[in-house]
Amino acid sequence: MKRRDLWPYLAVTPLLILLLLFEVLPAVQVMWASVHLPSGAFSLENFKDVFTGAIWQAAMKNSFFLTLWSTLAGLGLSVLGAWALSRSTGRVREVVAALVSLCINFAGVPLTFAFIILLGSSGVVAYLFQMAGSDLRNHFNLFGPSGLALVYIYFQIPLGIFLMLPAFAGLRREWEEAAENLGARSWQFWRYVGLPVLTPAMAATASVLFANALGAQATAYAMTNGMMNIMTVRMSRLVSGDVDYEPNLASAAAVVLALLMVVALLINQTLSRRFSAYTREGR
Amino acid sequence: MSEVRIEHMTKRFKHQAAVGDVSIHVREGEFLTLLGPSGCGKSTTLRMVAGFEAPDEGKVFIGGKDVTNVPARERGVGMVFQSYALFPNLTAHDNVAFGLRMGKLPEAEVKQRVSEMLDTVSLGEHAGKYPSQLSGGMQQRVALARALVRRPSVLLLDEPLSALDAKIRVQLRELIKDLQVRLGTTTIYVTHDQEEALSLSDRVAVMSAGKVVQLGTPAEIYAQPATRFVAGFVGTLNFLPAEIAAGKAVRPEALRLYPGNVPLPPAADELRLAARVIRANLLGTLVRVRLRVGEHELVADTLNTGEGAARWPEGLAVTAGIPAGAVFPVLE
Amino acid sequence: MHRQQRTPALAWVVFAVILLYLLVPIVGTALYSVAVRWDSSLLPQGFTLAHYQALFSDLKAVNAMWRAVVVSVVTVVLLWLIVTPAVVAAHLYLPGMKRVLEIASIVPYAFPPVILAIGLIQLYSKPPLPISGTPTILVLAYGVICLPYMVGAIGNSLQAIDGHTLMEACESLGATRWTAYRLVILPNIAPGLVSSGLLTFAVALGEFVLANMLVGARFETIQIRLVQLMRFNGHVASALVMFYFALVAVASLALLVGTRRYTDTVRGE
Repeated sequence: MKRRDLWPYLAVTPLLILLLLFEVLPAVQVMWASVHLPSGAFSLENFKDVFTGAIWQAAMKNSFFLTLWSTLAGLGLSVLGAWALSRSTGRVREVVAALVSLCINFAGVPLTFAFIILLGSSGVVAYLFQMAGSDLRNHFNLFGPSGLALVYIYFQIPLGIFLMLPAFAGLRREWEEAAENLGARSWQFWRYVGLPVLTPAMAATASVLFANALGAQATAYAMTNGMMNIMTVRMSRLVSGDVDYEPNLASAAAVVLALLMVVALLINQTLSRRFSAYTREGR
Repeated sequence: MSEVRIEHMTKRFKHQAAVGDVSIHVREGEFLTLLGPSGCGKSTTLRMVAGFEAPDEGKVFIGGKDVTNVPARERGVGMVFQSYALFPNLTAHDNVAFGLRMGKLPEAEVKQRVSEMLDTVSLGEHAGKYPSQLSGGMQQRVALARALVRRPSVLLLDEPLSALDAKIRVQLRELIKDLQVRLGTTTIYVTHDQEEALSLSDRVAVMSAGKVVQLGTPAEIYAQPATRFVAGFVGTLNFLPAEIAAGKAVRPEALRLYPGNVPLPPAADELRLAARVIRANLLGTLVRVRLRVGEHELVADTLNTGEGAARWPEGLAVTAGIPAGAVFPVLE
Repeated sequence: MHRQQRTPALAWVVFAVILLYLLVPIVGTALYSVAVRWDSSLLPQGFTLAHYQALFSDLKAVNAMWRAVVVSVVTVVLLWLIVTPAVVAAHLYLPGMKRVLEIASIVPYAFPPVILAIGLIQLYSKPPLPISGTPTILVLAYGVICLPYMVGAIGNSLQAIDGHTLMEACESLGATRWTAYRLVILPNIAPGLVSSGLLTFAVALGEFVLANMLVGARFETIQIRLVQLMRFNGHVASALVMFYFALVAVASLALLVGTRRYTDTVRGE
């Protein structure tokens, strides 16, 4: 009996080792490094730098606004997309869902490059502006925050749609019929039942999109060759750049970022639970 | 309170008739049940009365007024769904108040009518709870209150008890009947449960494959099922072998069983057959006895005399008496 | 017995806007990859396959593709080998371990690749395990970020087939746990393994941050080569994007078709 019961533990051991070496230890290392100086002395200096340094403050501000706008716009489009998918019929629904899921893989560097081709200085949109006697650069800079936001929104949409789909599926047809039967117009149903029921799911989706954008690095890095001043790019340059290798400072920034992500994910969890309380079968 | 008149109503789904030329006249204050197996078109018929589906042909009149093209929200009918369809973000009170608020009633009156209604369904103390905090039976009572608080001219119920446990089903069935009698609301009730149909209704319309196959009082439907389908759907039935009485049937409870060792009473217009017990099962009040008569099987329900199934041991020779008056013809 | 549905007009408008947003960049890149020139015209001036030729004669690019494919495949196989027995054991015998796996699956979301890389670089640039800069660290790091898909898919499969009861049924029929695992559990969770494997493959193939920070120029993958090509020859770069995208698209289409066939089989029982 005793020998038999050893097998399950053996089966989980390799995975536990992987988790220890590549999930737990890196986390501990980052936390440890964040509160120590390169000399090895304990210090909160790194956090002070992150919160008070002008460049870091700007990076945080850029990251925050980029994340916020891409989350809001991405959420709006995702909600509409998920609604449209939930209301469309068989074939249409299948084709659109397949196309959207295909675009999930079009992210990071390839996506950035595609936007440069279209909206860059020699792209077709710039040409159109030129033809209209104007200059795209006067209106829009792909390599600045607004351009980056456009790319961010792109990769938020498919994710957001697939996160919102179950919520729309949980919105039962009979609720709409019951409301109609009780004399409500369509907008009254959405105002008093539909949107309130969807709200937790929307907030949960928003928090995932927020974390998704906040942690993104590839797009901004590829777009500006590492020059864009946002949190993730700045952090990565501090450990992989040959010029300024400052892992402790990078770790402090990483801790700040991770805390923001944790807050976003906790919000997500709480709200998801609330939503499932709404839609579970109350029998 | 209004009568409902369904005239030649037809609904096709993908070129196949879900409801084919159904005409029913539900009288003012009547409780009419649409009874049939799933897919027979009973729910679709109900949903056309509610206005959730538009008939392809035919008309619906409520209180003499043609409502075929009136949107569901303006029909003034109350609807109770199988899945309750309570709004999960609103409390029991707010669910019930929903329809009144849509009608722009002053809030004071809304409050008063809602709490009266909730008391009627004995949920006064649960007014502040959300649907997910209520049991299925409570949720359906809220749904009932929500439909009735608007004082609808017609109440429609779509398999309201199907999702509930057996015991709660019976309690709620009584509540529905009490309320209907008290308020006198014209009611159309959809179910596949013959017991509900027989116990609740003033009249029952048995449906099959999109058509009404028989419309009558529960007693009529039970005593004289028009077709083999109705007979099989409502209660249990013995179809008599062709050599005894072709095309005729008898209910199990009409059969009389005489154990072989008991002297037979004088025959009183009764067909008597020699039979053997295959098996007896105790159902409670009744003992259901399966009998072999020649090459055929019959089922007889006898009162439980206290011994249960033991009174009819396997292989026991008995005489089965079929009263001539209990035999009725059944169309294929 | 439901209301007949038609796709509402507003849904069409929404689809048009979203698909325009999502597909124009892809179509644009595809056109660019076959365009002779496309810098001062509405549509490309002339079409050619020369950029694909150039791509496949660029030794660095070809090597990068192979490296990326090998790294992705190794990641998938490694995860299959490590995660499958662990999740099965946790689900069937070690309920406490199930919770650990759940938490481990959330951590990568709170811990984006940038942060993971910052930790890994500091840990593994020095003895006792100086693997920073090697494909090994890349595979293991990919393993961690793809862990949630694999754990989730296998867990769901086990739940769907009611692995617990199946295992008990096997044991009551006299099978050893190993036989039961091999002959009953594995074949039944195979669809979950394949789907999460394809997903892992696609994610690993498209991953840039870890590749760039952990190994960079020392082991160039598709994404790293792409960043270089972008500045050097846009047309060849777009050919590389299309090649990569085709690889991933094939994987996800296989996933879609496979999933549908599987659910059809299960439903058709």
